Amino acid sequence: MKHAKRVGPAIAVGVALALTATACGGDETGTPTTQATAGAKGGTVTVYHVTDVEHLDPARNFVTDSQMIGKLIGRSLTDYRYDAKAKKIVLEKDLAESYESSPDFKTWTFKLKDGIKYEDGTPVKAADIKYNAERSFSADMAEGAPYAHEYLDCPGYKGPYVAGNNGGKGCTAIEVPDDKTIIFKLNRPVSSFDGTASMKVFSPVPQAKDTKTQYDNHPVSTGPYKIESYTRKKQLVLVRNDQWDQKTDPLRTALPDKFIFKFGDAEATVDQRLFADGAADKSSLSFSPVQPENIAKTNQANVKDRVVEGTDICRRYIAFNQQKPLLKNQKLREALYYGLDRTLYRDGRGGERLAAVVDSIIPQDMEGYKAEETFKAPPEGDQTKAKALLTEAGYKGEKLVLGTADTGLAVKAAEAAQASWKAIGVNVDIRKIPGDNYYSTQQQDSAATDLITAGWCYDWASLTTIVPSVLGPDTTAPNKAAQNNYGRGQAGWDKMAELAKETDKQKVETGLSDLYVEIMKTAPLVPTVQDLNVYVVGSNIANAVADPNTGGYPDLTQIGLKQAN
Amino acid sequence: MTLGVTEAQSPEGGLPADHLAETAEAKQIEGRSLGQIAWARLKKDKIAIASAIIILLIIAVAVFAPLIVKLNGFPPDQFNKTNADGSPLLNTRDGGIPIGGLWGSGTSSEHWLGVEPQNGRDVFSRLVYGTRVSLLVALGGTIIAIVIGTVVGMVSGYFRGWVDTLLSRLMDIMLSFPSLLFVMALTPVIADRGQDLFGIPDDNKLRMGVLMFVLGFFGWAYLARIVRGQTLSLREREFVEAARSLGAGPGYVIFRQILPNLLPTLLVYTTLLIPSYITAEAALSFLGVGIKEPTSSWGRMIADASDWIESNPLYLFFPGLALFITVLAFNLLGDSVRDALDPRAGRG
Repeated sequence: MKHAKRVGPAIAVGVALALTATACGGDETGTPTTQATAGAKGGTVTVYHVTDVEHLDPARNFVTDSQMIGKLIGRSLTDYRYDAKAKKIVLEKDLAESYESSPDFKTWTFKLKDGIKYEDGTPVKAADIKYNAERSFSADMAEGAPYAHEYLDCPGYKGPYVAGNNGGKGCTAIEVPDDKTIIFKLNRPVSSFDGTASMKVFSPVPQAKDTKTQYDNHPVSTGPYKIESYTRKKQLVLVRNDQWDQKTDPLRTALPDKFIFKFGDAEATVDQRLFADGAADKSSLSFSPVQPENIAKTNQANVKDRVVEGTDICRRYIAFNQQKPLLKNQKLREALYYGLDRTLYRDGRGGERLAAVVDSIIPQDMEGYKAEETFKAPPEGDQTKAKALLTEAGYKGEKLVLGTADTGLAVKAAEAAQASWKAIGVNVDIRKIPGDNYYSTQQQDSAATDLITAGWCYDWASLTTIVPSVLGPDTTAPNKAAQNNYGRGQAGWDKMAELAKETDKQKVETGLSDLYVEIMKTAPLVPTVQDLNVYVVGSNIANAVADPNTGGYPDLTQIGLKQAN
Repeated sequence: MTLGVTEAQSPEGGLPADHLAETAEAKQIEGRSLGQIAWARLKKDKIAIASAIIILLIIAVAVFAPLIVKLNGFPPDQFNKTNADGSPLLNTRDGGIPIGGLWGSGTSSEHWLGVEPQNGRDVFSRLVYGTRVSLLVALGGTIIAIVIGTVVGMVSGYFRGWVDTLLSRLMDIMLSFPSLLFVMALTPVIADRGQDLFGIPDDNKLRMGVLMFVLGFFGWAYLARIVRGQTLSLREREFVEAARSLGAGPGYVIFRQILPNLLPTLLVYTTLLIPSYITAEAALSFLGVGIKEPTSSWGRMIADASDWIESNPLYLFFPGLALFITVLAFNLLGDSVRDALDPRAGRG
């Protein structure tokens, strides 16, 4: 999901320590800490977010912050739930009652649950899911998850808005034999398509209510909440959707009656409010982790019981753009790899409580992760080796441009990288790019910088959403790098194509794991850190857990209030 | 503060400060030129002397920055992690605030003014190098403003007629520009787009040039008006008439007869413009449209430090103090120079 797009506060999260949330019930006696109790039903939760979210339209919702909000409003075929007790991310059937695949993993059949309705009471039909998947093919909806148009076998299809929706047939690879059944025919074996089905592009959108790009402002709810009002860049109010039936939903406890999202307040201001825990903010929380300058204050007596910590499945890295003549030189890339002091980089991102050094873009607790054995660069880097490699590379002081999103932490981290490369004698200039079009800028070959800071969160727990996405080719255009392959390296593409045809899930995963090691030998990028998040929540908030699968944001599907306000 | 310049003139345009084209009148009365009188007054003015010494010190700091930084041994853009004894400099668990020192600023015998949170850069070294940026940008901007303002003012005042009308309207236009907004909008565009459109790398040389240019470009019109007023009156004076009747061309009259008489005005204006440009550069850097990392600039240090004011107030204090002292010294010197040159003050 998420291209870790909101690089600043956005990709962060995690395994909540100290969280002993129970699904429901739980006694409050003698446990004053926020997290130890399950919430009461009812009340209003206020959520601060430094910016408005980009898209709530399920065909376009592909960034972690909007996905968290989207989870309250809409349901997809399957979805992931973070089990804080077991510290596990669990795939649940959301709209799907059951599903099965053909032995070759190219045909997937989903059966829908009974009694699922939209906010206006009309029943959800399988055709509505087909319709939304088709919408994601259109050029206007390019921001969304690419998997429908990548995997579905309907070549040349351009979405329902053009050419009379393919003569009324739509994408022929999706079949809807009845209102409760939907069949996907894929152009390749995808053994983890049940995870793919958690993407919001596989949520229902009723064709009658579709207002194309305007649908963003009021997606029709299938989840526990519906939009009461939405003023862009200011406020989003969600109220209970009485057509949602708790019994059909294994993912959401939906305790509060109302959510108010307030956009635009500076992070530091919100920190102050939440630390102070004034009457108005007892039931508030923030999507932004505590800022580095305020971290020390989380140790204060009146604050430390309200701290929620966690990490996420996202990993940050700096890609070396191999379209640039200088960086075609592997020795130079290796020198940069060794030269980067990742502890400085971590400190730029806020220090040990807000970030941790990583040696791979594959999360450590994921199957297929292997400790980095090729370069064995220590977290502080290896200046001696880096300098020797620089000499071998014949580097003569040419300037390299490091691109970063223009947000506080990202810029500080970029400055740390700049300083550590300067220490080995590499001249680096920083180019700040506004956060809201950072990735789209770096995706254009002509505008991309030499060194590219990026982050990636897997879309579901499979290396197929890490290795090909970050290091692979664009499957629709020959010899072009994938959208998020910022290094534009081509190593291992042939092997990747072979693995795409493989039908054995285990073989695919181990194959990709080995392939990742092979590709990393060419030093296409250097992994930097994973974010750790530290949140402070209001004293009336119960069940605050950071959801590692959704950018590490506080899990709003589980949150509640100690006392309804 | 620029109002002071107009006060310095008497209604008829002020006495000519013609120590070059000495008039018989001045010789008869005092035997000293206005320049000499002003100098004598300045020497007696303790504030002026103190300000001048501070300014000279600041200039020395800027010129000898690399040598001064060698004293403590921390280059301004070097990230520091540990003290000489190997103990950590920053508490990386708590967001990277400095360990120890006065008010959590990390001041020590190694880092005299403490270190920056998160990256451990030496505040003293960064302040010293920041002086260079401040002075260079302010001087460059001032020179541009003075040169354009003087030339346009003199041409406009001397030729009068349609030339004057044209240039005066131009001055009006420049004066009515919302210049701060314009500078804020223009600087990043030139700096960022320079790369895409003209292939000029966006480095700090370019950014400093852009800052000087925009400050100077939006600052000349006020001076030009003053110069025009003075020129209008000077051109009617006898020595100018005399020169003209002897066949002197406009170029000679403007640069040899009128310009020397404008020098006191220009001097006062310069001393007042420099501090206002130092503040302007700091403000622009504060707003993020000035000098880029890793080059240090007082304005950006202040911007950075404002986030940390609660946990590390000294980090904000030092660049603030440097800016304050520099601007105050220039302003006080400017005031003293103006007083010394004021022909209405008792001669003596």
